[in-house]
Formats: sequence, C-alpha cells, structure tokens
Amino acid sequence: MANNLGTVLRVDLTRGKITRESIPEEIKKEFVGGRGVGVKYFYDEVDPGTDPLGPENKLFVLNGPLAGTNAMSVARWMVITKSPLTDGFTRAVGGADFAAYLKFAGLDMVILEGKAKKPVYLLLADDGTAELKDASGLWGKDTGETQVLLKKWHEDGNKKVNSAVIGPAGEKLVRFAVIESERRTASRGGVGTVMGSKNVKAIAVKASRNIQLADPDTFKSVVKKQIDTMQADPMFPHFQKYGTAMAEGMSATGLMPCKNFQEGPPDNFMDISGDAYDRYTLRHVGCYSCSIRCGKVRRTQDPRYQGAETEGPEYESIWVFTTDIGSTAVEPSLVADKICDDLGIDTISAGATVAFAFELYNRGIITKQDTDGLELTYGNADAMLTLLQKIGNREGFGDLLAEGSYRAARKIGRGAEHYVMTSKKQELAAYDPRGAKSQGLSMATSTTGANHNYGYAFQEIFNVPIPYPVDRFAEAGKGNLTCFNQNLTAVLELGIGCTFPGVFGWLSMEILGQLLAAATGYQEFLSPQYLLEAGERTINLERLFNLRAGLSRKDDSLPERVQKEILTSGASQGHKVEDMEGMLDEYYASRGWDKNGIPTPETLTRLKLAWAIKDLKQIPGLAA
Amino acid sequence: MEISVRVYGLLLPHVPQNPFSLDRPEGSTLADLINYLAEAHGPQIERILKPAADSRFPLMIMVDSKEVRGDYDNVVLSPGSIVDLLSPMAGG
Repeated sequence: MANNLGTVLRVDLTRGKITRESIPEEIKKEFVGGRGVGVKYFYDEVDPGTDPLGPENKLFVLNGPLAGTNAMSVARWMVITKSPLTDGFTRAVGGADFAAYLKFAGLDMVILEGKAKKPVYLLLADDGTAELKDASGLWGKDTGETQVLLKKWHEDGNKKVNSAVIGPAGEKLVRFAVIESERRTASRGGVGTVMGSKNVKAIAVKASRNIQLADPDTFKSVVKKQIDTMQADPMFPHFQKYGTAMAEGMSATGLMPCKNFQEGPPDNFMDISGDAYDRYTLRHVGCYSCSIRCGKVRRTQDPRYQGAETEGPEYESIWVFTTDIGSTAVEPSLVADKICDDLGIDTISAGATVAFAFELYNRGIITKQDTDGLELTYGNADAMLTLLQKIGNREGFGDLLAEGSYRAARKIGRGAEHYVMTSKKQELAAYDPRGAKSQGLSMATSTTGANHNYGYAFQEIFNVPIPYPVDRFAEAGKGNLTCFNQNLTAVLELGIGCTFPGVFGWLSMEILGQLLAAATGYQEFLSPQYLLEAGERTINLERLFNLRAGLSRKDDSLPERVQKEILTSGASQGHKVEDMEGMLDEYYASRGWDKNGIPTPETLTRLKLAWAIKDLKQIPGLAA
Repeated sequence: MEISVRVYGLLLPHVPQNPFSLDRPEGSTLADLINYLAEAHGPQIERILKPAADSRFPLMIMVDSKEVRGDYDNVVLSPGSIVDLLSPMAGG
C-alpha cells in the first residue's frame, strides 16, 4: 500500500451530494502530489473567468504523500482556489495536524463545489463516513471557539477530532480571510473568503492514526538520516528556540520595511528581537511529527491586555504589527496576532492594509472623519488593534479596508493609490525589494500575487551561496535565480514540505525524493530532475490559468514606491528597483516564456503539457 | 579604540551580553576582530565566525550598517565602529 492514497472526496454543496473518486495513475505520477495534483485538478475544473465568490469557483483542500508519517517538516496542508483578492490562482499553506488527519480519513483531497443553502460543516471520519451537518450553532463563532465545539461534539475514546475552520471574517467575506487549524493558518489570498462564500464553516475530521507506506523499512531509514542531519546542525536548536521571530537580522540588513515601505528599519530594532519576544513564550508547538516545534505560544504581561495568549507572531506578523505602523512595542503585536487568528484574517494583508491607512492618515489624505475617530498617528498600536477588529468584523472604516489596500485605495481616491504596496492586488511581505532583488522579482512574478514564500531568495536574505553566491542589490542574473528558487519551492510543496527545512538541507531534494519514493512506491521520485520538472510543470499551469483569467505582463510588477523612491535609511539605503522590465525579460527567457510572459508551445511540450497548447487561444488578445 | 559588536542568531548563546564593547588596537581590521573573537570564545563560535566558503550558513557582516563582502583584511575599523555579525535564520 502507498501513502498517496489517490482518493478525492467531492462535495457538491448545492445538491448536498458527496462522492469519492480515484486520482488517475498518470496524474499521481506526473504531478507527484500536494500542490502538483491540486493545481492539475484546479486547472481542469475551474473556469478562469469565474467569479471567485460565486458557486462556480471551487476550493481544493489537500495534503501530500508524506502527511501523517513520522518524517519531519512534511505535514503541511494546502488550499487552492481562484482568489477573491488577486482574481487569479492562489495557494495557501497551513500547518499543525490537519494534513495528517485528512490522510487518516483516507483522503488526499477534498473538493468543495457549489454553495450550501445555509451554513454547514463537513464531518469526515476514518470509518469512511462523510456528511454535511448544520453549522447554525457555529456561525458567528471565532476560530478557537469553533474548534473547541467541534471537539466537544464529536470526539470520543481514542478518536480525536481535528478541524480546519473559518472565523467571522470568512463569513463576512473579508477578502483576505484565512482557514485556520489549531492556530496555524492557510493564510494568503482569501481562501477562507471562498469557503465562507460557500457557507462552509469547517471541515472536521474524526480519526486515529492509520498510515500505509509502500516501503516502510526504507522510509524508516530515510527518516533516521533526516533526523541525524537536523540534530547535527547548529541551526536546529536555534530554530527550535526562536522559530522565525528574529526581526533583528532582517533589520540589520535593512530588509525589514518601516512605515509602509517609506523607511528602513528603526534604530531601536533590538526592541523587537527574538529575545524580546522570547520573554513572553509559554511553550513551543509544532506540526504533526515535526520535532522543530517552531510555533511559540506567548502571553501578554501588561494587565491592559488581560493575559491575551497567541501562537506567534511570526516574523512577517511582527513586522506588520510593529515597524510597519511605526511602533516597536511587543505586547500590542501579540494582541494583534490573536485578533487576526480569532477573527480569521491574514496577518500580512490585514496588517499591511492598516499600515497603508496609517500612511494615508499621516499624509492628510484621510482624517478622523474617515477612520471612525481613530487617530492613526505612527506608533499608535492601540488604534491598530481597534482597526483590526473593525476589519475582521467589517465594521465602519474596517469595512472599506476589508477589501484590501488595492481596492480601498480606488474607493478613497485623492491619490491614495500611490501608496498601495501590492503586487497583483495582494500586499507585499516583509522584505523590501530594494535590498533583495530576486526576492522582489519572485513576489512580482508569483502566480499567487506578492508572496514571500513562492520563491524565497535565501541567497540574498541569508547570504547562502547555493547554487552560487549573489550580490543582493544586483539585478542582472536574478531572472535565473528566481526561477531556481520558485522551482525549488514548488518541489517542496509537491511533498508538502516546509520552506526553511528545505533551505537548511533538512529536507533536501535528495531526502524529499527518497521519502516520496518510499511512501508511494514510485521510484521516479528519486530523481531530482524528475521532481524539478514536475514543479516547473505545476508553475506553468498556474501561469496559464492566470493568463486565461486576464492577468498579463503588466501584473508582474512591484509597487511604484520601490521602483521610484530610493531607500534613504538602513543598510539597504541608496537602492531602488532600477529595471523591472529588464528583470522580467530575463525571468521570462529563463522560464521559456515569450516576451509577454506566455509559455511557448515548445516549453509546454517539454513539460509534457502539450495538451494545454490549445488553451493558449483563450488568452485575451491571442484568440485565433 | 573602543568598538561595539552586536551578534545575531547562532552567535547569541556564546556572548555574555549583546551588544558588547571591545577595546582593540588602533588600525585593527575586520579580520583581526574576527580572529580575536574566535580565539576568545572558543571552537564553537569559531566555526560560525569562520565558515567554509561553501557553507550553507555563512556569516553576514555589517560595519556601520554597510554590508561587507570579500576581503576582511582590507576593512579597517574606526573608533566607535558598530560591527554586526549575523548568522542566517534571522527572520522568515
């Protein structure tokens, strides 16, 4: 038996009909698993012109061939859909135990299609049952309460319940709502918004461990090798202690933006260092079977915040809740993280949209009359907390910001659009492209809109010389590098593996391939070249979907600010993005795409996607 | 002359406080400083301060907020210089 079970649960919400089907053998081989298989289904089944919040859009919730095993850093789950934020493809990745539970229930993927007439949740079990249940008792509850109630209602004996849920923000169609499991989120692109639009509150799985491996002995030996590699590495205990909450490094290099990318990091950046956050850590938590336990549960100490407890914040969230609004106060950032998790909104898009509003206020483009009386002066962290609540609940000024900064700017007018920091309408993450050009190019060309984890440029950010050393400020050569990083991420997500262990070599291409082969029985997966081609195939299908949805070269861009304004402070000062078009030309050439960013028939044929050549005619402007 | 050193990431457990000041001879270079720190703090810190050229985790060094790459022998420190020593994984 193999751990890529090949089973899909299709849930027709409109008719209340649930069916099971098998993933064809050729898809399991050519797309490996995880993101690859999900993208193939998405491409085949979702019309690029569909309304993201209409019943025709579909939500693909999936795990990977390694979920539920005892390998490290492979327990991620993924959601794929057409994004209500970017109007294109999106994929969001979550952690904790949900991927494993889906596998224990005998599933590789759940497809939600249509729209339920009233709020429902999907209850799955490892005895093969699957049913839609009335969610009226859950609707309106926050993500934590919802998960507690599902456990209370359905857990018994040794059958635990694990669930992926939306909060009030998903119900109210905030455009960047998340799907949350425990306190880990599939966060970007509004995947929770799509789930809310379908009147689905949760997917709950009642199961106990049940894993089938094609070659258990080999798998065991590869896991041992993986654990030995991790434990010998000096980075391992360090990552265990701090997780990603180490904003000081990104500040010292001038990569952490400040005040909506107007400035480099503040001089007192040690106030938000890993140790500054570590003082609030209660315990360490992690994804299924992973011994890193990079998640940090922290509690506030200031009585004003009433002992608010959160898992996080991670580096990105620390950024938006501190320097991006001109603050270095730790405790409000813990509260902000909790608010976003409870309501179910993406910390990056929500926080960056708040920072955008702060800049508008400080420029006088909006006033207290627009902000429901809130004074959005830099450093006013309490105003940020109120605004996040308003966004998650779509109240007052928050209702406008719940549309995301791109759409909000167009409603506000008065020049507000000049201060939007998005690519493909999605807010940038915490890396200033002026100090890391490949990281910027990857955010610009990501099929999901600006996303730091689509092709993480660890060569620029960590100075890691793999496959070769780079100058982070240089633009020439970054097209090739960006393709390399994006392909690497795509391969990890066939797994579905985690980015940093991939970068550190704890989940190297060699280890990943050996795990995949032993789990599935497909010896082809031992070849890094085979996996890289599958990753590239996946990216090309995402690209083709976006092109058919009307996105084009002009959408592969970075905000006006980073192309026009030279950064004037911090260790990346004196730089801007000089030649966006030149970097794009090089990137497209590396991908085998034409000057408009369209995959050529030769490239599609090389990637065994010749069947998709006919779809090129559906790209606006190219119709025969 | 007095210089100020700030460390990040893997180096943190190996220093008594952060940042810290050092009194070094006038004309000291960045290479001198790294050698001094490696000797003063033992082999555990030495492998971080002097990684192999192809290491997955090379050191990133800033002197007065400017990134230094290449030949550390040619970087002469000044009185009051602030030296940042970063190992990878400082945000993500």
